[in-house]
Amino acid sequence: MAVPSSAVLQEAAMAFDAKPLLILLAGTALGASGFLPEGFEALMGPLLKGALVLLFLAIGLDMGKEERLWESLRSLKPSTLLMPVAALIGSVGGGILVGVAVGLPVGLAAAASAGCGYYSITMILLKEAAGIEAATVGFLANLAREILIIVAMPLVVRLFGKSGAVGAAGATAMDTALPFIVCSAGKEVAVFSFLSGVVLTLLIPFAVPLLYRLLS
Amino acid sequence: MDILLFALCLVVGIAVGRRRLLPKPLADRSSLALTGAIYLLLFLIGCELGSYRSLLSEMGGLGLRALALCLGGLVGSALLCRLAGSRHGL
Repeated sequence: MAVPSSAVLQEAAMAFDAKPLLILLAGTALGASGFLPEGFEALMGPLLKGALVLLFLAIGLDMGKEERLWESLRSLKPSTLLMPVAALIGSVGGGILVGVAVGLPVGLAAAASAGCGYYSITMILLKEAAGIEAATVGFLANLAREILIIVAMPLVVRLFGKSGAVGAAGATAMDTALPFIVCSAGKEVAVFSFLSGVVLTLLIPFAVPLLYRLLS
Repeated sequence: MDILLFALCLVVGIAVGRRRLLPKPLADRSSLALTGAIYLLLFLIGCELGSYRSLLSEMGGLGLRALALCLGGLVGSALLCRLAGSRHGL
């Protein structure tokens, strides 16, 4: 097995954005400290829903104004679309197999694996659909995927080839994992990797809650 | 029903962004709003997570199962994409 060099690990550490994790941990520390106001839990449901509405509006706005994104999407060939769809189906299939084997409910295994490395959104959607325990599993599984993919990219390319590496990177193929894919698999996969990540990023917010509801 | 509401919000957001219906200073800050919304949600979920002491004590077991799930998903995606890629000469 290839052991990543310290330079690769250093680069991976710089690419990984620790802010979401730190913010989550800060919230957890506040929750565990017992300083939360009474009635906070009752407020959580409506607060979460309102914030999700804002989140989807902001995702839409952000996408809508990006001319380059629409140009790239217009240039998508059906065969390019095949890759993110295969990544999503493969992730859900593999997740269900392993998840059930380790005693997780099918719906949770499918929904958490559908996150394809997009851990913030997966956690938020699972919290709304399935509760705090499911959200924690979804968060940890997808955070681990993002970290693993950037640390082990050379090995992933060797084992699964260039298209396999793009698929394994899931949603992170468009940003965090992109430089590592280019470094290990070559420049020719850059555009293809970016587009695969973009399409997955659009599919995931719908796939996670939908799979949970269908399979639970 | 929630998923329909979220889809509607996404479509409304895209339409507003595409047609430049928002004043420019506000539209320029949409990425900031997105990051802010994600951070706020993560903070709130963190607060709830912290208040469940029993869940925190189960974190080791949950973490191991999550890691297994991560490997299953990663390998599943990689295998299917390798297959799809080889059929299309990628």
